Amino acid sequence: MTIFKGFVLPILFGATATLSANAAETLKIASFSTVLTEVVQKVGANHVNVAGLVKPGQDPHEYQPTPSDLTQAADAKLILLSGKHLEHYLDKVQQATGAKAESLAVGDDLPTLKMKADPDEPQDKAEADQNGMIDDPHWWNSVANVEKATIIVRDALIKLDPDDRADYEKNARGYLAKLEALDSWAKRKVAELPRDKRKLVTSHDAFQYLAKDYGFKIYAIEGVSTETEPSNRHVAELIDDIKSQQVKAIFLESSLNPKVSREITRETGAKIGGTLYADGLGAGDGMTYEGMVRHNISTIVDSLK
Amino acid sequence: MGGSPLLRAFLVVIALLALLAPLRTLTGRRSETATLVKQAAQSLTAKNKVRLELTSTTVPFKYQITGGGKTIWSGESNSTTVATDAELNFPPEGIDLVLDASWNEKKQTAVKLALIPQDSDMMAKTIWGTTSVSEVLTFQKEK
Repeated sequence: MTIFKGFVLPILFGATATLSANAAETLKIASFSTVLTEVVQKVGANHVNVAGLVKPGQDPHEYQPTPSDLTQAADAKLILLSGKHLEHYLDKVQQATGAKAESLAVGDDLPTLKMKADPDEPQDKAEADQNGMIDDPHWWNSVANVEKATIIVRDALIKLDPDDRADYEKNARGYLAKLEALDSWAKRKVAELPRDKRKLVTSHDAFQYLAKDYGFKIYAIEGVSTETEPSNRHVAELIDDIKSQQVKAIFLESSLNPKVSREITRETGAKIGGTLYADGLGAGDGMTYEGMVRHNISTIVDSLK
Repeated sequence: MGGSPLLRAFLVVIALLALLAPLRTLTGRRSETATLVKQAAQSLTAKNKVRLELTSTTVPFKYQITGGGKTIWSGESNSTTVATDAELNFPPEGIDLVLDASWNEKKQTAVKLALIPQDSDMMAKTIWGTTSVSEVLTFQKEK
């Protein structure tokens, strides 16, 4: 009994204390972006406890936070958002969290490409500038942007937890090296496709950032949002473009109804080149960012060759 | 096979004359087909003659130039500059060439790839590496 009191009990108490200290030291993060969920997990590793509220395969344009999601966001020390006006439910999140947690709209610190606002979409109308343009929110389709996002997330973690700075820097370096290798691979793969064949017809306008990085011209079946249907006039114009540009293939998107795309292939004779991950991570190959990019680039290049 | 030599020579001449018409038809068709195939290939590929010049500040060096997923030019050189002529598709949108080069000495090295198309000015890109370089280079003719 003396041994128990003098030796075992202190060990047990010590272990419990260490465990609760570790749990307390772990940063709670809520992420509203599948790509940022991966980034913060890679950079934060065992120092973070991440709740990915938008799940892989979920359409971020249509996502609405559940009460449980808002509770998890309210409990977090850092809330990661895609930004560029993608989170139209932001006021709900801010109300629920009482602005206690730090919100970081990562995309807002990245270069912006503009796109035509959908006049039938109230949110687009509200956000459009005087030329009828809105920010394109799909920044993650550029590997270079995800590299920049990694640095933004790293710096946010260091600010919240400066004691573990060395770990965050080391983890970010490792992840950045993988992203650089991925970008080099993508450039070499795209180089297999002559520049005059880089015409990308997709089921919604989500690949401007990819197009800019790798020299593609975009013909989108829809505007920025997956919530709206394309007009007959837009579809007719697109059919003319596909025919005159001799586009070999058009691409579907994993979180979108492919009905219109299939109709266009019937009219033009172009084939369905495959399904792309446009709105972030998804099932299958797209479970990781690297898998998503490799799938998208290979599908595009191999179909248009 | 009897008969006079004169008769035999006459029969050979007759046989050759009989073969002349079908032979002419056959060879004529073949050359016409070859011309058509050549014309079709030319219109499909529309290639431009381009001189490629590769310069490395470290020698010897190994190199490979790839375009459209195919090796266009590769080899090993003991001199700083090597050159070759190639036929390349050169659309107005430009051309992407993958340049891979490596050398034994660990030394900061500049590798320059220059393209001189027949119908436009020289275009050149330079990249740097310590033991190797591997990069996609984009060339576009000035409009």
